[in-house]
Amino acid sequence: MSTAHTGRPDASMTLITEMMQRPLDPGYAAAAESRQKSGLPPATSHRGPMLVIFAVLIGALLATSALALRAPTTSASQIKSALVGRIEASRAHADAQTRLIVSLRTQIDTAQATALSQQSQSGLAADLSKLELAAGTVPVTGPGLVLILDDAPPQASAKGSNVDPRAATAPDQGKVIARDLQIIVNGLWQAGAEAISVNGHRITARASIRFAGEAILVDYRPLVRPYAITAIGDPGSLSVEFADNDGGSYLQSLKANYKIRGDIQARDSVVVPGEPALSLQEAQPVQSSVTTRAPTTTFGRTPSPTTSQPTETSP
Amino acid sequence: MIPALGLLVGLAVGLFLHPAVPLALQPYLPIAVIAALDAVFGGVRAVLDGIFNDKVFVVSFLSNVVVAAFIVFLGDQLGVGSQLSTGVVVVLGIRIFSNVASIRRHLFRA
Repeated sequence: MSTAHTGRPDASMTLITEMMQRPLDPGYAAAAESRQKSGLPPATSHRGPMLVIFAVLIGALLATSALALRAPTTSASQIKSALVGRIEASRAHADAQTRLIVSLRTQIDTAQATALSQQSQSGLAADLSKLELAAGTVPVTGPGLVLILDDAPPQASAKGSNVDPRAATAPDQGKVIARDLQIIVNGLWQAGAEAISVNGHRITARASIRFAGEAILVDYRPLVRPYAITAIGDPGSLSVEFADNDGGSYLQSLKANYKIRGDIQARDSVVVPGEPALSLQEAQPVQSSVTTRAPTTTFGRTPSPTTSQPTETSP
Repeated sequence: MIPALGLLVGLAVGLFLHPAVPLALQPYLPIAVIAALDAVFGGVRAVLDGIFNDKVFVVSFLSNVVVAAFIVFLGDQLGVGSQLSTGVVVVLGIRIFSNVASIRRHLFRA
């Protein structure tokens, strides 16, 4: 390799020139020169034991560091993908079980109907279908309202963030949150709705409207916008009552203040699906006061058989 | 040829034994790898130039690794560990590329 010349135009870049032009350790050239001077060939043997030992050492170093430095990222992503896989598997399992419940429920219903008709207990059959209707386990249809609720139009908030850069850091006020749905659904119950579903999920005695982070959960299932609330009831009185009560005024203020889109339509016939998985494991009906007096009650009064309360969403 | 076989044996040993690296040594591993690669490519080039010397190779490998690790250690103490690591990687990387270019000229005449 050529050594540094004097008066080169790139003399000010000696460091880079040195690095680029003489990358080989100068020790090799010096050692070769001294060996030649003492009458030996310039290069030593390539199979010395020390060389082999160091080759093994370098190989082990490469493999070890590759394994050691690669491990953390892969283990984290492994855990993540494993979790994602478990979530997906559980969701598919839950869907399959729900379908199974639906098919079993229809089998039970037909078997019940045939058994009751064979015993000519038509009164019992009528009672049963009435109770099922009230409990919300069967799909129902009738006149009613459809309320479509959606987030504020995005261009409005985008325009706002252009005007005020701090608006982007503030939480998005134009989003429908779980509390909005709760208040509106409660307003619909108050207005006399007989059955309500949100995005196809029936609001039964055991269904709740909750939030998890930014997602709205109805009956523990996440919803995607827009939110369609279907309520069965007399469309005229339902819309009038709803407009008068807290839910209606809350919806009005959402629309006026936060540009949230809410649209109420009266329909002649809407369908509210049933919630087939409605079953109680622990709850037992309280014995009627005529047959036994319940000794465990702490209030000192005899509990009456549960009358059918209008179902309300839990807050 | 025998050192190349030794390299493969070392790779296999590392892959199969899977030795655990202490956490304190992990920041120095990448630098040690770069230094080792520099020594290896320098050695290969010296072989092709006909001036290979095993003592120089071993000493250059050890000193590269030790000095690189020391620079990173010093940088960690001073709070500029990542910058000094980058510097070491740049310098050794340039050397590796020049040596590889020279090896390429030897092997392919191009």
